[in-house]
Amino acid sequence: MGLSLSKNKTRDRSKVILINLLKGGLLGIVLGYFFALLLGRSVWVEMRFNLGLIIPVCTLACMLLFLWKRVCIRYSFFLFLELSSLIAFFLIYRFEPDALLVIPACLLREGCHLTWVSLYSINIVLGSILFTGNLVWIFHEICWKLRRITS
Amino acid sequence: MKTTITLIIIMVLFSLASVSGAATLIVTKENPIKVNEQEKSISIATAVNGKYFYESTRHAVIFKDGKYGDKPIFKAFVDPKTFHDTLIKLGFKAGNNMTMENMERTFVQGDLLDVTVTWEGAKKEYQLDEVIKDSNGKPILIRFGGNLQNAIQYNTGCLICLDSCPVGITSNASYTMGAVEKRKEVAFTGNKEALPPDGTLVVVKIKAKK
Repeated sequence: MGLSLSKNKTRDRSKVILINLLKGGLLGIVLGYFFALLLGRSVWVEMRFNLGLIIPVCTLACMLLFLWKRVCIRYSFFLFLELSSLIAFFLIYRFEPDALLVIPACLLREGCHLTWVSLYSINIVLGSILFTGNLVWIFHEICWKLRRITS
Repeated sequence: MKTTITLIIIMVLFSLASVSGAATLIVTKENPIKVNEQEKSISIATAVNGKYFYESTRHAVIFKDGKYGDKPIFKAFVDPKTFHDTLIKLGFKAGNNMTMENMERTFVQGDLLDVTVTWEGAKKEYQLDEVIKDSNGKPILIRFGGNLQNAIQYNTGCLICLDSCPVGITSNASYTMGAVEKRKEVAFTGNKEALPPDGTLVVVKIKAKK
């Protein structure tokens, strides 16, 4: 009985760690893109620095922060950030829908030095991570709210 | 949670497998330079960088392994020294008039070059003006600047710059250095209506302007 309880506890702890890593990663991706796009408005900066590098750095930093400090962020706040970044993107690129399929993938390719990977492949990976991540976060938040109501 | 992670890993592996293939042209990534001594022309293999269909740049062609290898409209598979030496071998005269001190008030000199671009399935050989948009509508005048010492020292990889440059082997004599980044006189972008998509192998041909 005691053994199964401690097993459950360990499982719950690793679940929390994984969820926190996922949340941190997602937030880092969105923030990384936001800063990279913002800094890219200066041609001088854009020509001299690898702005794509901000994305993996921000992602890793946020993942570590979420793991270390157990930061609690609501999905609604993340969604607000996500939508704000998307609106900023469309304003910068004058509502050209094709830019959404090129610029984010190019930035990530540059940042991670994945010169041999096509934009199509990067878009699939990025889209899948964001889509799945959002779903998991929503699902996790619903479960957490239900648990609070029932208890 | 485990299923989600497994799904993500499978998707990553699956998509990495579909990298873009090479086209069959007179130059390839493996044999990236072809010299035609009769025509006095050089053809070099490059790949389109889709980022600069939407962003402004001051680089037309840069060697992919150079410091600024991710910043041009066309990423070349030829290094600046090979490009410079081939131009010299074909009898082109370098201007060598650009220095770090005079770059903002001097226009690049040297032989005037005709730069065209083509790819598999292209309707014709496009002039550089047709595939790169100048916000002022000025013609792009590429001259053989030389600058081999600076090119080696700074290792930027620049082959064709879009304003007069003390580092690029060839550059645009229509503007002095700083026109794009500092003074914002002009913005250059790739013409996405004319050019093929990102990653497409494109042949950049350089010959004497008649």
